[in-house]
Amino acid sequence: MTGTAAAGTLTFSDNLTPSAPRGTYSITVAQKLPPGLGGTNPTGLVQTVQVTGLRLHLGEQEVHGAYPPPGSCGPVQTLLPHIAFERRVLPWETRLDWKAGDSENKKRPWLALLLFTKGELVDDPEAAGLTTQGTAGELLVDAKDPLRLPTFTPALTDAEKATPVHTIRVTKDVFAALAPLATEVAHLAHVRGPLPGETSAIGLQDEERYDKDEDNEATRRATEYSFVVANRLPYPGPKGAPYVAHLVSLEGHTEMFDNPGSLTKDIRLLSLYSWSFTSSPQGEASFSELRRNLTREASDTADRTREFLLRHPQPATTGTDDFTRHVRYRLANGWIPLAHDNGVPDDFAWYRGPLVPYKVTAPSETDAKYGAADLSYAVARELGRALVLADQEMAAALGAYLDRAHGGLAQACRVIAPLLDPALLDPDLAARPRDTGDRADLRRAVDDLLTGADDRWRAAFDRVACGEPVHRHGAVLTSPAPSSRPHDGPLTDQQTIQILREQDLASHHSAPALLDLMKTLLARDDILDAIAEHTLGGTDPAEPKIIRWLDRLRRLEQVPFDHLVPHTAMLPPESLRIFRVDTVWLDALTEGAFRAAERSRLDRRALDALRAGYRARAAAPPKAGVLIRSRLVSAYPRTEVVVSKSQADGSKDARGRVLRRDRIAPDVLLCLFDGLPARIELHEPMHGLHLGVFEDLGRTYIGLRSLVEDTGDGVKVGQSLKGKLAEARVEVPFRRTSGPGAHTIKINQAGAGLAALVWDKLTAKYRPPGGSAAGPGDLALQMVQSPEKATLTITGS
Amino acid sequence: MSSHQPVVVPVRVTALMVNGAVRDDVRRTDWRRWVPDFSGAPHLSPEPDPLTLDVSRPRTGVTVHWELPLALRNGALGSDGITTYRAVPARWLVVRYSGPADNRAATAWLVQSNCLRDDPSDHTDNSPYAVATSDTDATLAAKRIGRVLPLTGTLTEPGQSAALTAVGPGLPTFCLYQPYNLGVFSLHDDLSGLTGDRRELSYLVMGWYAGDNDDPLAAAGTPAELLKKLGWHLDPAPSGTMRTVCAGTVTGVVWTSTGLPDKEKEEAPPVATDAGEPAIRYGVGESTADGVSALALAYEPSTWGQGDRLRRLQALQYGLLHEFDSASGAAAAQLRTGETRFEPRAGGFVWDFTTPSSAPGKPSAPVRPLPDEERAWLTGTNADQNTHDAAVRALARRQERMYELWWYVQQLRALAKRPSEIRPKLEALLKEVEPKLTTLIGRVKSDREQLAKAKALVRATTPEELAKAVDAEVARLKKLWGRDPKGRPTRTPRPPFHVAREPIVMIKGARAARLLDDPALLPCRLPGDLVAKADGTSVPPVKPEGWTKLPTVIGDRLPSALPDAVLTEFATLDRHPQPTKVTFADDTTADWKTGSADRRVRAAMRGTQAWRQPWTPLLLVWDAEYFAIPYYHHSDPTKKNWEFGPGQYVWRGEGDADDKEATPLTVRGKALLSAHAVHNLTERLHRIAQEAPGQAPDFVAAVGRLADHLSSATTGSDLISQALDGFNEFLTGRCSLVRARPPASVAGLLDGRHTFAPRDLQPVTRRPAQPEILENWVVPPYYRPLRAGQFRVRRMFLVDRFGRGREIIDTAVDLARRPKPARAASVIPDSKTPGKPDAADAVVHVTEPTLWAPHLFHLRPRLPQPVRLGFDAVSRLDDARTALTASSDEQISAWVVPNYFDEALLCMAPDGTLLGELRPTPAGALAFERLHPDAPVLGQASTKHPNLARFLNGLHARTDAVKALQDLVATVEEIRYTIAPYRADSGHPTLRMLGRPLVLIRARLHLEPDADPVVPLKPSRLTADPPTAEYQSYTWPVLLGSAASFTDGLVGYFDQSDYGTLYAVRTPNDPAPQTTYVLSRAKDTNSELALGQSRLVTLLADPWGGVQATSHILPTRVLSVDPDLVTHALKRMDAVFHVGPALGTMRPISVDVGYSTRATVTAFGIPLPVVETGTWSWRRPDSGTLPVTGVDAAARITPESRAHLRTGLLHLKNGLTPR
Repeated sequence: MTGTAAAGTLTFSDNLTPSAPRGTYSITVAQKLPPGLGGTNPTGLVQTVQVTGLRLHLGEQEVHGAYPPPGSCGPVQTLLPHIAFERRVLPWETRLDWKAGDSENKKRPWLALLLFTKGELVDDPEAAGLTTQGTAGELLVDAKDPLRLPTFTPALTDAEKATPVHTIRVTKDVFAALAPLATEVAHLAHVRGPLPGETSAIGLQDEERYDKDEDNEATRRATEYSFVVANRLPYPGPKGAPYVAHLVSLEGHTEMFDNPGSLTKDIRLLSLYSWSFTSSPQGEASFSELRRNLTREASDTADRTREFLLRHPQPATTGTDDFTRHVRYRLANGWIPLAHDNGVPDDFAWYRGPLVPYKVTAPSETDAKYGAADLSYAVARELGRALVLADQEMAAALGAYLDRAHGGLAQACRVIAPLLDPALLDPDLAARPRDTGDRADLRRAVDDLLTGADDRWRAAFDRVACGEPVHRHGAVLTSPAPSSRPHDGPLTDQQTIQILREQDLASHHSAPALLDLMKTLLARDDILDAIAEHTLGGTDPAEPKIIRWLDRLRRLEQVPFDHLVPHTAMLPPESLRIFRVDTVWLDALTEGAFRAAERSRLDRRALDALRAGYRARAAAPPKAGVLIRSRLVSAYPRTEVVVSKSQADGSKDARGRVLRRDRIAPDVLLCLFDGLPARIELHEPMHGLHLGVFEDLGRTYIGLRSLVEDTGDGVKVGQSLKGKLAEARVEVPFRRTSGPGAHTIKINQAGAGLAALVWDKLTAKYRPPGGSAAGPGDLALQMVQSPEKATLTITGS
Repeated sequence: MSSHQPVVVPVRVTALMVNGAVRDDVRRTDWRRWVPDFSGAPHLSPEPDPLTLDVSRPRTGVTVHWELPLALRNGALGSDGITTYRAVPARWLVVRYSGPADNRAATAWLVQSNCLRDDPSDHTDNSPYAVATSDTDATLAAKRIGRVLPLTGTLTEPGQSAALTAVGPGLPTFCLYQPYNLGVFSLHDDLSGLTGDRRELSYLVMGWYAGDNDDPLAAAGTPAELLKKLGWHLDPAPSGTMRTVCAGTVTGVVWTSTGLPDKEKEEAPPVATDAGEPAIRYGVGESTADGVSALALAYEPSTWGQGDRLRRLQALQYGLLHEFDSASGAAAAQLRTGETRFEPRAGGFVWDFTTPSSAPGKPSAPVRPLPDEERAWLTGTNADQNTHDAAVRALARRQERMYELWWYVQQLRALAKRPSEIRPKLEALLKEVEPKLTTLIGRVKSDREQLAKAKALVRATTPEELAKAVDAEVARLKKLWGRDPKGRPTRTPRPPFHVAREPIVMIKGARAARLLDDPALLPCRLPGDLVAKADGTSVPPVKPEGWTKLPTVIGDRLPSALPDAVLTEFATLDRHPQPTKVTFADDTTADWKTGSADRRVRAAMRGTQAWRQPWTPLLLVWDAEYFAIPYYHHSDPTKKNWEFGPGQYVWRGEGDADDKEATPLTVRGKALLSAHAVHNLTERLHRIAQEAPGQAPDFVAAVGRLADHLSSATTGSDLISQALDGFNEFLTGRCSLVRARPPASVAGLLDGRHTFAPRDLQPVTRRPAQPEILENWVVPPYYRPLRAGQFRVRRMFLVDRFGRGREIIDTAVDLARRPKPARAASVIPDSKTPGKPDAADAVVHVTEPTLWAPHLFHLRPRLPQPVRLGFDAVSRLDDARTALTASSDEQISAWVVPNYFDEALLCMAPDGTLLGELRPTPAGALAFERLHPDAPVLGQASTKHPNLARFLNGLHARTDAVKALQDLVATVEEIRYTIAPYRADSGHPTLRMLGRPLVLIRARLHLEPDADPVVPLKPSRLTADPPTAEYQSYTWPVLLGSAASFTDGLVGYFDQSDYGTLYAVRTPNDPAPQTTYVLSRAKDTNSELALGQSRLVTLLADPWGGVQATSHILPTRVLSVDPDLVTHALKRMDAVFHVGPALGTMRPISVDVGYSTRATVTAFGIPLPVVETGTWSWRRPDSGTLPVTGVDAAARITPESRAHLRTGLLHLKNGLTPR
């Protein structure tokens, strides 16, 4: 059963059962001879296949995230802690026998998330996350203590017994109080689709693919996560309390969960993953708290936007002289004075990185008046060059291109030379005054040849120039030659002599000096352009490297941070700074990258062609962006940034894309946009889209949402039914509200749990026909708490 | 009863039918039958000169000739210079069938091939022969050889017999040219006893060895080995012992009393084609490839005149077409073509230490780096080897002179015996010369003894000797050094000397297919494989009278039933010449058709010829007129007749005398046509699709048509391509004729070096100009050592094995109407005035120049002796030391990396260590920043890097030094356009960004003659020590580098010790040079070399390209640096980048400061290439250094360390090794 939330394409699914769960399978191959052939059927072949799932250990890589953030402290008592997995099938991968029938067994996960607070765990009284460690054999099979141990079917192998595991020991009372029932576990796991805008984390290339093909099931699945949710709210009381969440395996304990009250002694549970946090009404680790701090400077008045510009704060000076004003102007526009070690004592220069506070204008005359040079673009060029030098692959790709260009031109020479009048290639420069060696005659001849050639010849010629062996195109290129001089009838003696002389392989006509021809070809744009085009557009996977590398460069991906923010005062702790991107700086950077490979005039021409080719293909450069230096970034590394299509400077709407979103330090997030958005939104990350409750007058409720589409009154799936139903909320039923296991929710307890309550309250109108209780996805939908969002409005400047 | 297995080897039998009509048909057949005369003096040839011979016609009847299998005809050249031949079967049975087909009569003869007799009265069954007078006296005594006995008569064994080989008394054509071997390998049947005007005859020939000592199959060894050695194919090889039996037949011989054989029974080419054109045409070229080009153009002018098809045709023949279209394909083909116009001669050896080959087929690798002891050993050994090789060559030339002088003395003695007025003068001369000969002989003797004393290591000639000598040396070195030498001393050939090839004559239409030799594997048979029935019918053999005597004659070497079996096959195939199916003696059957895969059938068919009047061209005889064009003008020695052109020498002068005064010289000779003259010429053309895929279809079609045109429709090729052997030697007064070995006292010292002898020596007919010089009383042959001029062929004819001759040039036809020969580009006379690409000017001092200008062939200057253009790197430290492979780490003097932006030069040591940078100072001078203690100091010589210092100082010393440096950088820029791109494996990608390194190489150009010059045949010149020749003083320009080849890496060179001028392959024109520092390399101002001279040059070149040295009188030489060495240096080359302004921060890094200690230092963060070895550092403008560290894009916010800017040098030490 699926529901679509009003927010967009958020999808909830009950479960995803693998078609072949853990177990031993055999594949039998048999051949049956057709009748009449005689003989006996060949013996079949049986191959045994063992499908294993996770059992005793959960790798870090499986976990996408956990909430509340590990180690955090915040007001989270209304939210159900949960854990998100990278793999969608993980909770259902191992099928346990619940003795509930196949279809029901299939739905139930093998994991549950148990939440404990102070004094509830035998070996972890402070709920600090302590576990008992040892091998599975010691702790789960051979333990001597009077403990309820899991019954593994099949039994653990020797290898499994040697696996180190974490376990917790729970008393029978606590277990009875908080363990989810067998009928509830299915409601505590579901699969969730992506949140709008969350795809930016996938990378630009993938995003574009995603945009184009939204129905692509495989892509969608790749962005889905599975969730296991606790059945208990971290309800600490006024002072707050520590909590520890344990993801436990249910294997071997299914009957205990069937009836937790039947436990007669302490139980040992296998903890696959655990984290601790503090639930406190006063905490500030929540997203809202952090982002509030960040954006507190922002007010609704437009001119406060300046507070967020990336630049050095103005010095406290009272000077009003021209120089001071100049310095203030420089600083206000993002420049920083930097010491320059260049042999001149105490030299300094102005530097401004690519991230600038205002639109870049042409330098004013006064800019240069005060002595210190502005080296911003010189630094950019030098950096571009250094980055190419430092990157072997890029250096090799550029080098290979230059070789190809040189080799291609050489091949082109070889093809053209026999078609020209040998006298044109005469190397005897002595006959020609040195200073008139511009070879207009040769240029004309080559031009006539190339423009006069038919399309087939020209296409073959271009391919040869791009490095394909000539003989592959010999049939086209060598016959009929565009300028062949046909001889009709018998030759005169003179003609014979001339032909034989010119065609003698040993004569200089056969291998003429090619320098002038080489230069002539180099002076033409068309051949080099074809080579550059071939390199950039080639199907060779090694080649588009150049475009990708340069696109990345223009998104500043390889640029060291000190080039972006040359002074720490520009980005103090707990700050958010917005900026424009100086495309001139980007151009200088790109220019430097090309210049790195240039060692000669030939290289220069070839690189010019490559650069022109790149320009035509380059991805749009970023125009603006935001830098956030905050604990928000470290606590919520996947904080989403969404930008508006509308532009701050009132220009035409952009696509509103985030071109780059990179956490370049644990607490620094850099985002680059394709435009200058009027609004920037920070989203709580997707796995932080919690399931939770709300409080009203000391009681705990969940709001109701429709489970069906368009019920006649315009209500969509997932839409809140506030105002549609008399009472669009359900009070959350707890097993108990104090003592061990307090605030454990009755999810689905013999028709009396939350699932049934919700079902009833929805009335037939807002639920699908049939059924008696809400399914896991249905229930999750009801409990969705909207993600946090902060919007920054920017005014054009 | 013999227990041996007879192996039946097929021989081809031909039969010449002669009647009155055939004998007198002088229009078709120009009889050229002669016999040798062994009665003359031993220094003269027993063979008469075919050009001056009277016609000698064959006798009426049928002459049957059988051709020995190839294995018995081929000789093996021994290390003493003497070729040895296998013994051949000396007993042959010839059976003739005659009469009507259903009632054949048989007659038989026994040929005793080795029967020697003192001149019997009857010459009809024997041939002239000569044997050494006695064991001690090698003087030849004339004898006759061969005897034919009717089988019916008494079959006595010969009283005397010769050890018979294919060359008989030393005549290469003895077994092939039938008039030489009558009664030996041929028999004349005068048809006596037969009647009728038309007689249908068949002949069977069967031969065997007279004794086991001669039979190669009776030698020691397994049957398979013995057969393999001979190329005789039997599969499987028989198990027991074997004996050789040769057998062959010719069937269907038709003798008529009148008239010529039917047209279809005639193998010789017709006189004229159906169109009335002469059937045989000829052309001349410098090589077959260019000759074929000329024939192709003449054949289909509209096809071959288009595009560059003729070039492709040549490239195809050189096997270069598949790469012809690559960027450097044409240049490579040009070099290769140049090479084919010369013949290589062994160039001596060089030693190196190599590791053994890592895998079969992989070459062994030189050991690098080489320890000092090994290097010292190599230096010494190479010097010894070089001395020894030179001494060997010097001895060879001296031996030639000794033989020539000996010949001179012999001839002089003969002349002095004749009564004449000048006899006293001759006798006096003889008295003068004889002691000189004795001295020369003594000198040769002592030379030989001296050489024999040389170290075994340098003297070894066979692989076995060499291996033994090396083993001994390794053992010695191990003892001496107390360790194993690194690698094994290995001797490899040095570049060869080259000598000009003779002009090539191409003859089309001569029907030369019969020249084609036996296949490499000759199918043979056992008796069971002999044909017993044809199409199921057996033909009872008619046995000749006396047949029963055979077992006695043959003895027990062969099974007694063998002759019957052979005769059965003969009778069967005589009756059924074209059966569908044959049954062999062992009752198996096989299809009988052409091209059968069955070995037995192929063997039987090979030994069974259906008769046609035979024609097998054997000799090409030619007589030409030669017009010399000397190097210098005949009256103005400052003017050259030959100019160094762009691709070759071009004639820009006159002949050897004033017009109408000079007389042409006669050049003549005869060439033995060999199978390879016709072999495979067209095969390569047919293989074009496999050899060079992707050619234009119309070109491929044209090649196919040409190949068909050049092959005869029936059997193989119809194009003879034959060098005019002896042409070049003829000009120096020598010629190669068959001659008897000199007496042992002389021959024993010659090591076989008596191929060429003086052509002639005649008494003067007029009082000489300087009568006091005795040698002037005789006239030696003329002497024109420089082969340069024009020639025309006066007469040329082919002679076949039966002495049938055929004129190629019909001298009876008026010159104006005579067909013009095809001329290849290489032999078309030059236009005397430049700029006329279609003119071919004749030397004008002859009559009717325009009429026979089209018959003239042009020969460009070539030296008369083998010469080598030495072009080797010398040690970077010592000009006197050649840096052969052994000391190749001395090949590179320095690395120079021009910086195109800064117009500066980075300089590195040969191993890549950075030495410093030369750059202009703001003050307008040049400064050299030294970055290494070994770096040179401007203005001073350097002992560590002498050539680099000279190069830098050459620039520095100029008053316009800064501009000169700019010119240098611009020149590098210019020539780089045509230097092939970097090699893919040439080091770390980052290094490429530094710039393209050039190497500075000191090299020696050396025009090295193989030995003493070839001198005129005068005693004074032959005995001079050292002998001299005028041509030694001619100087030849040598041009370095090439602007046409992408593989040539030369930028320019410095001549000798002048580093003030760079002679560039190409001077830049944009911008044009501002100074005279860079000059265009001129073709005839500097680097001219005379024979024996050498010259030092310093090359500035791209390391991957070679450097060409072009002289036009020799193949172009290429000097290239050992690529391993280049790779090694590039991998560890220091790099310096000018960087700035660079932004960064100082950050702490930890560095190793000892084995286990690490320290923290602050380093400047900058993006850096990752290198495996090597360390980066930052060099500040004040020369202080700073550590650097790589950075990434991660943000590290470090308020304590502020970002700042730096400008300086980023320096990598110890190289960029790719990770």
